[in-house]
Amino acid sequence: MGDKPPGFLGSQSWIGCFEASLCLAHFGGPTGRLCHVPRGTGLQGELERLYSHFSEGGGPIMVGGDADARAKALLGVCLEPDKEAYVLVLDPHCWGAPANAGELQAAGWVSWQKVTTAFDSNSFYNLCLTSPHSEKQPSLWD
Amino acid sequence: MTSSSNVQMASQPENQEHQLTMRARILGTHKGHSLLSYKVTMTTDPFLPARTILSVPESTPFTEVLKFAAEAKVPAATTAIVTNDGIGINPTQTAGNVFLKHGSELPIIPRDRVGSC
Repeated sequence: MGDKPPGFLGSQSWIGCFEASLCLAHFGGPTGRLCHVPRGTGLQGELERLYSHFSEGGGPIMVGGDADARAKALLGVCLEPDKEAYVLVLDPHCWGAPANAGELQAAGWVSWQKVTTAFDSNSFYNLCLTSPHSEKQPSLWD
Repeated sequence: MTSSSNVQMASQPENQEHQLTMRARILGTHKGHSLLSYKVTMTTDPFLPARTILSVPESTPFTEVLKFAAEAKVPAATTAIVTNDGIGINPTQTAGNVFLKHGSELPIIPRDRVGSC
């Protein structure tokens, strides 16, 4: 793709949601739209957008950051008036073929977490919101 | 490629991230090719003095424009440009291509990392 220098292949250099979004576009995967959450703001301001994303059929959301670079993906959001918000977090290190959702939860690969716990206000985050192609994806390569 | 720096910058709390936008406009044409002008401004207040101004031919690789943003104290290797609706822009395109396809105001975001050691 040319985004990285020649020595990048085989290195242990970092990649994140931005690179993932370029790959999705390059290999014809789902659309990956980036949402930047600035340091110090937390995820509270984006919860309505994330709720709409999932309720309208959006796919998993990849999460990357700097101070908090723990790999995680969001599979859902739970919002209730006057109550703390929760996000359904998948640890993408999960491997194998679990028999059912209960097995995933029991092993800790998927869990509901408080937004204030799952996200560090000292970190910025980039979220990559995936969704199926509805129309021709904007071309980034011409 | 010409550039100049404006040393006036708005003050901001130390722990708060600068939110920046790359703003482009066509300056004119020379021998049939457009000359583009770029400036990096604060997203929340575009009328504050621009941090840096750069003029380039449209054929300039956008990677060079991104490097210029480093003059605005934004590291080029860890910086990304996206469209206003969140589509990541591969910086290997020409500046003219990016301007034509994605418009004149492009948010600058830091590149993130996924996965801890």
